[in-house]
Amino acid sequence: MTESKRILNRIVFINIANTDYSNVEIAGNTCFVGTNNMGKTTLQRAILFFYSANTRQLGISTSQKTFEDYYFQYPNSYIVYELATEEGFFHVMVYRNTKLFYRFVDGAFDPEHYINEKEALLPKAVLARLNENKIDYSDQIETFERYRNIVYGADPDKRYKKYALMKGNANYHNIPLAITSIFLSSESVIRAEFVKECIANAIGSKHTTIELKTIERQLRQFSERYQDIETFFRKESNQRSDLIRDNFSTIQRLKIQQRKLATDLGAALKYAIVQKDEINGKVEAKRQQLEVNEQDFRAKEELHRDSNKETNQEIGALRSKLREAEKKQTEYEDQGIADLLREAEDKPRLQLDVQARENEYVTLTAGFSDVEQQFKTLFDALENERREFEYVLQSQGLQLDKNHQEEKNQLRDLFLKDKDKQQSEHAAGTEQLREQRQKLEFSLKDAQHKEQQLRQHYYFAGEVNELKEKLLAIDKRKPELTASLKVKNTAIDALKKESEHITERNKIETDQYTEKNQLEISTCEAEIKKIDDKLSVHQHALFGYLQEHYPAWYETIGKVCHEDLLFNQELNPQVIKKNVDALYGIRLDLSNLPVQAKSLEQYEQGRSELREKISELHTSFLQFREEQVRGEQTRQSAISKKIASLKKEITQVQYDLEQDEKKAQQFNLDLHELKRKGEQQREQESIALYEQQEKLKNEVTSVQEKLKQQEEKLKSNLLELEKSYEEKLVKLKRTFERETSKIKDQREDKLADMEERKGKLQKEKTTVLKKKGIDDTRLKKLKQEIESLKQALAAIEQQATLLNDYRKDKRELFDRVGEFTQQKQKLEESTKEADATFQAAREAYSKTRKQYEDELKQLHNQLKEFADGLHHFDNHFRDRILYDRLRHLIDQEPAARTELSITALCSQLQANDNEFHAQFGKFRENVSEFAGRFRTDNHFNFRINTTGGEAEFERFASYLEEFYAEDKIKISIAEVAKSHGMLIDAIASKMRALTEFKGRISRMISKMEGDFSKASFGGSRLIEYIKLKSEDSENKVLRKLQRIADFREQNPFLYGEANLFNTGIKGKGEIDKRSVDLLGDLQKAIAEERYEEINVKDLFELRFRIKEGKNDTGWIEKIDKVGSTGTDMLVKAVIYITLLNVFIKESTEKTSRNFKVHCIIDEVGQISAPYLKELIAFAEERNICLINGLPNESKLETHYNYTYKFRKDNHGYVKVIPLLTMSVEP
Amino acid sequence: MNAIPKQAPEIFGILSRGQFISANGSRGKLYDVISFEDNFNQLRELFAHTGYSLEHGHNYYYFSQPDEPNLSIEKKIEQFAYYIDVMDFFSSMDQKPTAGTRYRITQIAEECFSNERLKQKLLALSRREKMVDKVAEIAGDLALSGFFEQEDEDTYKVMDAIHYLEQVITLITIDDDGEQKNS
Repeated sequence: MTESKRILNRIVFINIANTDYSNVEIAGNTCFVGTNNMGKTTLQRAILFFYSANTRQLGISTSQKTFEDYYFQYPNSYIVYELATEEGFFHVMVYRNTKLFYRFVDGAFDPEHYINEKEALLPKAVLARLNENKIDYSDQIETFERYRNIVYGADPDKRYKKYALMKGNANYHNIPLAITSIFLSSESVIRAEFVKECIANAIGSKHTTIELKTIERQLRQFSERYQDIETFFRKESNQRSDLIRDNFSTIQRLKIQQRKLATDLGAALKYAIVQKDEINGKVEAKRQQLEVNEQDFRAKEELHRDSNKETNQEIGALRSKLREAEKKQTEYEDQGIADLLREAEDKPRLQLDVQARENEYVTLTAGFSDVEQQFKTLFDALENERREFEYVLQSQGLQLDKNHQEEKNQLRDLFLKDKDKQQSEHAAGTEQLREQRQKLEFSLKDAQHKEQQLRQHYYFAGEVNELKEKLLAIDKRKPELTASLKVKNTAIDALKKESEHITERNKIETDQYTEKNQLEISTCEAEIKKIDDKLSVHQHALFGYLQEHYPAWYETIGKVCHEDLLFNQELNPQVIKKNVDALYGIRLDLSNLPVQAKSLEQYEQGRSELREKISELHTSFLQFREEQVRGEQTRQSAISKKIASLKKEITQVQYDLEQDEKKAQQFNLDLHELKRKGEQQREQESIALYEQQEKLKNEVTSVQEKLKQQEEKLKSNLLELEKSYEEKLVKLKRTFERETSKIKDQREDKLADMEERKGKLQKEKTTVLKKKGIDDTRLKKLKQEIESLKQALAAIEQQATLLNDYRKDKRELFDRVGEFTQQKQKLEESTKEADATFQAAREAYSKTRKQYEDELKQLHNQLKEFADGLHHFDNHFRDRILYDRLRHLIDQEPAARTELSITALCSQLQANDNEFHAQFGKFRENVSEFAGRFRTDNHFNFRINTTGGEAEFERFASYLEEFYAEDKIKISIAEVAKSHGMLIDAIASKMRALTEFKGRISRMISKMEGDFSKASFGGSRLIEYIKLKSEDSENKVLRKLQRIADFREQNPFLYGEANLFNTGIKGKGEIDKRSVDLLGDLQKAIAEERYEEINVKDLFELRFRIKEGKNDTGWIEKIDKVGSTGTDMLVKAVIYITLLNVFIKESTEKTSRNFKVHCIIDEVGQISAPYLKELIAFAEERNICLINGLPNESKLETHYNYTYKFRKDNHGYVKVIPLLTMSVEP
Repeated sequence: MNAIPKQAPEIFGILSRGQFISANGSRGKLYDVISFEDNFNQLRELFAHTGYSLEHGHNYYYFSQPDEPNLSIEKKIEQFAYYIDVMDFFSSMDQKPTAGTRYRITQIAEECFSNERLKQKLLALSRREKMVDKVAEIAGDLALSGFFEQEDEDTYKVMDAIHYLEQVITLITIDDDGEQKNS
């Protein structure tokens, strides 16, 4: 090894895989010869591992053991890579202690440090040995990345600079990648895809890769959210949500109503139970009062009747006495009582006259007393006979009179009896009628009284008062509610103004921010334009010339030349003399001057930074907008919440007002209705009363008529009776008179006979006296006078009984008529008074009774109502599920009076429940329909847990209300708009970053083509040319991405606003729609194409064209077969080496190339020796050493610097034996 | 006049298989396309040439065939008899099959376990052994016809097309002698 270039000089295996120890020098082109499964690939992989330090990209299949497990089976397994540098050697030891570690050792590999008595030492012991020998070594390098950084000279730690193989730039990763790719591309076909990938790896980085999975995820999220919002704004959804909210409020109201009704029912039930007992008590008390009242009245009535009876009897007696007096008076007058009385007054005088005449007579007759005595005896006998006869006649007369009187009395008695009977019958009849009339009159009076009361009566007074009180309460409440409504509306207006103010302020802030942002973006874009201008002309300017012809110009011209000069195209530069460090002949010491000029990469980097800055500005704008929207939404949400709450309160107040209004209307209607009913009832009752009065009057008239009829009938009956009595009396009188006259006639005949006989006697006496000489004329006269006086006395005596009777009657009757009349009047008045008093008592009784009865009726009604209510509850409500559901409310409520009855409450509760279920059914349906319109995992959280039952639906509705109240859709829209904007921005910026590589790709392809042109294999002209060209990408996803980026360029500020769904700005809707469509297309393309990422290689399509001999492949996508197998392999090897060379150039600093790398290509046995020689030379020109594998020994190995054969020793360990070591100069 | 929407073949493909396009399903976009401006009339005219008539119900579209062979009608009637039983089954559940309702197979199966009446109805509808499989079968049948839509392995959503079934069932009247009559 004579060249002073850095190179991997040696690889040593200590206890690696199936090798105990192998030491292979590989500081040039190396060939491994060995049959299959001898360990060629194991060694080649270990070499590759030096460059790649990646255990996964070594071509080990997943079914095989991992690199660590296969290579490092023991704690004292080591792979040692020895590197040669300009100054000497250092080596890297790789060992395993749970994972792989590296240590850089400043010195050549010495087996003594690792092996002691043919036994490999443990790492600690190795370090101890190194320490013993004072050999410097690095810390343990624990990561592959760090190791690679050190080996490729990219580690910032200066201590490790000496361990670098080369000075790589940020893209040094392409070198190990290219080496790995070449090693792994064992397939016989070289695809453009592979080359593209290599180019991409060479110039791109992870940062330029567009992860489609991420984009797809973001797109999916965006489109799903967008779809959610679209669904939300659908007319159907809006209508449905309105319905849900309506239903929900109805349900809530019904629930409140239900609770109210349930508590009312509970209160009413308990109240009913309490009231039932109380009312029963009251009813009993009322009944007793009624009975007492009745009894009192009955007693009074009895008393009144009794007292009336006595009085009436007395009056009757008085009446009969008066009647008797009158009658007797008439009778006495008829008998000429006055004359009789006058005559009776003359009786004493007559008696004195009789006595005087008789004395005179006795005196005169004293002389002829014998004659006198004789004739007196005769006269006395005659007188006696006459008396006897008179007596007999008188007895007959008396008997007759007695009989007559008796008959007369009998007749009279019969008459009186009949009359009494008639009268009593009449009295009985009339009494009943009178009573009836009296009753009717009372009733009539009562009816009239009622009528009077009716006129003054207020119907439904209780209800009317209650309604009036309620109306009053409503009237009182109305101004309060109106005022509250006004206050709330004012508060809402204030909140709205605040909200508008916030929006306005935010708008101003946004405008200011946008302006500032746009200004910065414009500045950046101007800068980018400047850089673009420079880059577009650099190849034709001094800059390009220097790059091409004077690579080290940065250190000289770069320090003194102005940028404008560098990009001036009119300078026409020419190299006159090389390596002259002078400026127009003047030497300058530039060592302390900084480099002014920028490299292409720096310009590109600057442009990238500017674009990054624009992107950041866009992002920060979106960020600002999002934060602003979020902040605004938070404040607006709070305001909305307050407004919603106020609106809710307003709705409640309005509802209360409406309810009050309705109630007031209802109450007024009820009042009107009650009045109407009252009037109707009054009318009905009046009519009934009038009818009753009329009826009563008719009845009274009819009773009076009857009474009159009865009176008339009585009168006629009495008349008839009297007539019959009179007739009978007349008949009796006639008979009596006939008998009397008969007796009178008999008496007169007898008396005439006696007078005749007396006359005869007188004549005889006179004759005798005369015979004795005595004149008797005087005697006769005296006798006649005495006789006449006696007759007068007898007549008086005859009327004595009548007179006595008269006197008695006069004393007892006639003289007391006045008294009787007075008494009768008095009694009649007292009866009247008693009647009036009784009537008053009766009226009072009726009134009280009526009142009691009314009260009792009322109590009965109340009792009935309570009992009916309780009965209804027990039989029609208690066994219902509804009761079980509301039991906790019903049972706990204390007793209280309620407006509605139990039955009404039960019915209303049932009706309410039915209504609730009907409403809930609709509500449920609407919620299901509404939620069903959204995706299951929609970002609004509009989902229903189907196991949640009714409560879940209510929760949903409540959430929906909150959603609307807080206007959460705005936040959602803002978020979606932001993600939309950011997504487009991200895609655009990534696409920009990606497309920036297009220039480098073209350059790289040009370089590769340039390199290919050198591979014509000298005189053999085996390959006439290998051409490469790039075409526009056919990648659909990339096209879609590009369209989005283009859209972004065309509409830098017109998308991603807070409201993506706002169509207010003219044309904005179209732009938004287009942007959304573009994203949708991209999502679709990603889903269809199934790419995982888009990177540099997707930017272009690569085509090969190879002409070998007369074979021209034309522009092809893959190099399948070019000529014979050997030729084919040769061409592919050329392509690989060219690729690696280009990558190395791209990835290392532009200083002189002082290192070599290995290109590992297995199985090159098919290439002919001259071509292999040419190939090796081709690689050598590019500072690349080939490491190839051959299955068999051939002459090919002679072209390599190192050739090793693989064999197995007796222990089965693979031994790598150097076959030939020589350096073949090409 | 607008051009015929580009989704016309897709719409035809779905509807000609006897399925529905419902507003609340994953084919909601197609529903929107048909409903957009004059598209319905245009598509109706277009599809009329194929012997199908594009019809619309409440939030759904479907094809009807004016000249349908009797055999096909008989098959449809048989199919409907099955759907009536299936609707009866779902209507007997706590959650009625209104559009948008989401059913979980396992949940329905659980309800069938606890509700004997429902269980008997389900037994009459499917011959599968497991309860879950039975439910999945009938839900799958409905999904196949476009009345349901499967959202994930366990969840089915009721489509707006369910109104079509409801409407047809409402039209069926039963005479006193028990014979059904289609008014």
